[in-house]
Amino acid sequence: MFALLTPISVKLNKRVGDVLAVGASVLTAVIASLLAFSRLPNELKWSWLRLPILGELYFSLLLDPLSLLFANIVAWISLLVFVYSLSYMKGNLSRYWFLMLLFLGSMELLVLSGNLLQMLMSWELVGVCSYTLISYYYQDDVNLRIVQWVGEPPEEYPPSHCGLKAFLVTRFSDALMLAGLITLMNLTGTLYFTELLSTVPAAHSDLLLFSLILIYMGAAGKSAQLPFMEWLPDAMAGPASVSALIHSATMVKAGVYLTARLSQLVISWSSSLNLSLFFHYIAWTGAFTAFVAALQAAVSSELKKTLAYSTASHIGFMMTSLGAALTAGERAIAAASSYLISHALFKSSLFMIAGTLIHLAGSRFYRDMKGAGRYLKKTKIAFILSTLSLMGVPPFAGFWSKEEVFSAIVSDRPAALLAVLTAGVTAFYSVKMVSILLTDSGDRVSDHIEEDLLSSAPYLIPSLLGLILGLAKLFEFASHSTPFLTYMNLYEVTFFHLAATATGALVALVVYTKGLSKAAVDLVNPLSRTLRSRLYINALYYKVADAVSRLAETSIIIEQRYSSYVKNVSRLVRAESGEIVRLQTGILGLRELLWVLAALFLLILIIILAG
Amino acid sequence: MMLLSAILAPLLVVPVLAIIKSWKEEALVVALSLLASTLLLITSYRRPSLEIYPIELALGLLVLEGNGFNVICSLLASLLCFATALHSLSYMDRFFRKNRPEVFYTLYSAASSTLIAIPLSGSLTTFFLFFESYLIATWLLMVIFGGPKAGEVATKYVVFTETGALATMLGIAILYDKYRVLDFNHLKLFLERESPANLVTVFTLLVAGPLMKMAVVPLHVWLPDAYTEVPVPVSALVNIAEGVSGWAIARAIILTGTGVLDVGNAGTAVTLLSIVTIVYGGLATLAQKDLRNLLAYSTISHSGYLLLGILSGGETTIASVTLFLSSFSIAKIVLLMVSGLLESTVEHDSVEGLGGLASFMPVTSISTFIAFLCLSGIPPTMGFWLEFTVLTGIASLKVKEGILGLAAVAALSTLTVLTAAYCLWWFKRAFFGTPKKTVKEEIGISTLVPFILALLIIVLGVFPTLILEPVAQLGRG
Repeated sequence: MFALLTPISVKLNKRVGDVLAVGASVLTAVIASLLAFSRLPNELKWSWLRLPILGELYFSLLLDPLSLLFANIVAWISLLVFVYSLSYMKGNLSRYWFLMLLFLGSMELLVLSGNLLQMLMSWELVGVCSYTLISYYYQDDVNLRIVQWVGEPPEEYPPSHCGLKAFLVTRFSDALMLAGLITLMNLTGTLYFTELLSTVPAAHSDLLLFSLILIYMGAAGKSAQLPFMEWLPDAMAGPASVSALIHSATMVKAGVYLTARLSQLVISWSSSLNLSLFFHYIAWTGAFTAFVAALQAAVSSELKKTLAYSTASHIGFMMTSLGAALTAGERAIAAASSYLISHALFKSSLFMIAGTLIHLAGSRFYRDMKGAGRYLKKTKIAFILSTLSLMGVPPFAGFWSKEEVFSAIVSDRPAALLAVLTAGVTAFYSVKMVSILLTDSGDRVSDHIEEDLLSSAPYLIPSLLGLILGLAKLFEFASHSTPFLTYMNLYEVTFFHLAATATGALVALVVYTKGLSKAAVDLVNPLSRTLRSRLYINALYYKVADAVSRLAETSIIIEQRYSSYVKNVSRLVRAESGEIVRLQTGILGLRELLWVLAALFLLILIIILAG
Repeated sequence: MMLLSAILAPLLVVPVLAIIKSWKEEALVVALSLLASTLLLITSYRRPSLEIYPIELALGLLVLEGNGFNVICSLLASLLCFATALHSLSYMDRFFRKNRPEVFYTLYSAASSTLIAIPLSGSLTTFFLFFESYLIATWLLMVIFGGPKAGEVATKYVVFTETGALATMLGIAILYDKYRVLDFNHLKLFLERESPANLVTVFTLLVAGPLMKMAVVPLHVWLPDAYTEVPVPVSALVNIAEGVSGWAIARAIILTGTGVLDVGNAGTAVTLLSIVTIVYGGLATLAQKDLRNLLAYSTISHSGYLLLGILSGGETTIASVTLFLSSFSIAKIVLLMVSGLLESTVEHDSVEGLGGLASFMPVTSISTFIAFLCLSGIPPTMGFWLEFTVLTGIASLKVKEGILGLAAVAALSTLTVLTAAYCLWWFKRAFFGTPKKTVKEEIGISTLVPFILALLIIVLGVFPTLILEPVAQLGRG
């Protein structure tokens, strides 16, 4: 409703539109918070429609701890981003507010949906919002390419291209998800989460396994996991506020939400069915994505793109954790959820800061941002706090949640090892970001941005929250009777994790303060080039598109030949039917014929009425 | 009497057209008559009825049947004919420099009337009468109002569609010869006792005509020209006829009681034919630059989906048709109107000369975007429900075949990405990017009719109960 009202009000008065949009997000946040006082789990159903095969379908909302957590993250991060948008976005915002509010409503519906079909609908709807918001600067202004485009030649793309790419890649994964979902419905006879939990499907464990993996493909697409990862970095062509909300804190986490839901189901079915492959698949794609995306973040030349790869990497961590759910049970889901909260805080903050820095530098590239911290004191503090949390430095929230994930995955040694390596690379690119911001050698950066409370509070709050939550956790452990390390039961992992983080940070510090020797540069260059080429995964997407395009051209050649053959036959027929041709030339008196036809119809009518 | 009145309403205004001097008034009168038909059908929506009239057609009486399924299909056809007639007010001007408007609107009324009538048919004779009348009316429209290739286009159209119609007639003759009745309700009782092989033969003959009209590959070759070489309202009629032909095939399934996809080799053959249609049509669409060509080839591709849905049997058969008419048919008419608008404003609808139109044509860009979303099966548009229903229908038959069945469902599902690709690729090139030409969008019939239809796609998508009512009726027994 607000999504519809806001653009109309913006037409009347910009200020009214702003107030309405932010007011709607405040209302959503308040309602989401109040939901915490509801009885859990709570399911509400309304009669909706009747579908073939599926039968009666209810519009249903499910409130349980998982949906409550996500509903609140979405609502509160949205509020921060909406407030940030007031100072960040310029010009007529009717389209912007409409899409952002539509996104907010759809995302809340997604996490509160009580059945998979309804969730799929909102899932696709957030995809549409993402597409339109990535393409927000749809004019693809070449003069603004240094700010609004993404990537470097030959892989530099304008916003409208990036929007389409994001949509098609995620649409492909969604199509697989739809197939899996329909198969699951066929096997279980229901799509309601509560009923699925209480139903143990009879036999068909192979089919069930593959349908679950297909559904997970949808999650992998939305959450930018391999092999669908490469749309996310290009989605950075959208405004920074959009990246902060959709492409870091909320929509891309929808995949984590869905996987958590599926994990709950599979755990409940695992006593009678062997579905362990499902968890292995999730764990391994998660771990690989985490590592590969972190490596790509490390070589990126753009701040937002680094953050995007970092998002894919951190979601990989969450997926790895969920992949351990068969052995670690609910603890793995709790760890992923905890990681998700801390990630939402530091990443939304970093994206909003990135927006401010891009405004300040007039460029999306690191090379133009050097020394930006000199002008923005509050921003600098928020940036450092959030980056420390991202690195997993104690006592920030990022550290604790990362530890929980390690605790969950420790039994899967290879995945844990990959996660430790990823932590090192994460520290590397984190230090790289901070060092560039603090390096005082920029000449492009001007000091024309003022840090008022309205613009800086939205990213200061989550970055401080990351610290506060981390300190609270520290006090909780300090007051705990069991010694800390014993309680965590992961002495070795904590050590390795912190050691990897320290090593990565130190290497980055050396590289970005002292520089590399020629020998070192020669050594690193081939790897760096491969990584900058996005490991050729992005190129593979375009190869597939090219192949389809060639097939399309072939089909047109076939069509032309077929059409020409029919044309010849048609000419023959026309030559044989002179009467028809004469009608066309007017000899028959077409108008008269029509009147005869009309009279005939009327005659029929009279007969009927008389009858 | 209600059903007959709805059919006759557009014909009753034909004599009035001779009196009216202005072509715009003629268009308005025809539009109003179609609105009257629509309203009449709305009033008879929830009341099952059977109207039998003592007109001795060649092989029986004129029988009209008003059950939920029939009326909703007729209602949607009527609504779309009304919208198209209204939109023609902003478009047809240039076609009346050489030809007389009353000829156009007389034929348009006749074609619309038959499209409204076909789904209300209660017997095979009645169906065939209306089906043939539609062919004649649209053929004349193509011949008279088509472009330079009118003769060739119309001949191709009539050769293909009449060949199909002849096969349908043969099927009807065989049935009449054997049972001496042709109304659906009595015929069904006789056919229940027939062997499956005979049923498949009868079914194949009966659906040949509608199949031609749906332009399934390789019977599609007449369709691209019928979209591109004629005025927008005629293309719209051809488009509505695709959905109405779907009704005819669905009716044949209900009549013969065959769940075609489930009957061994015939099922496999039809499934393959549908998939070839989807893939071939989809790939050919991807290579198109003109919007009308794109719509023509996408119609071919979508007929494959429609066929799969209809042939799945049971409730899916009915739902596929009603959902198709309320989603893809509406969306394509929106896009045909947009194509007409582009022809008027920028003189062509090829992406090669377009770009950045969203900056100048916000209303049109929204309508176009919604229509493309619908064709791509994205919620909350009605297209989603069609996609979901067809896939559910296929899955219910294929999943029991094991992993291979699941792979088939997944492959079919991913083919929808092809639709999204050609739709949004065209949209991006035409509406996004740097503007190539400055145009001005006038808010009037040319923009508002497609916009309202686009909104309807969303409203129906959020509240699909109305369209799925026939399914609910079946569910209630």
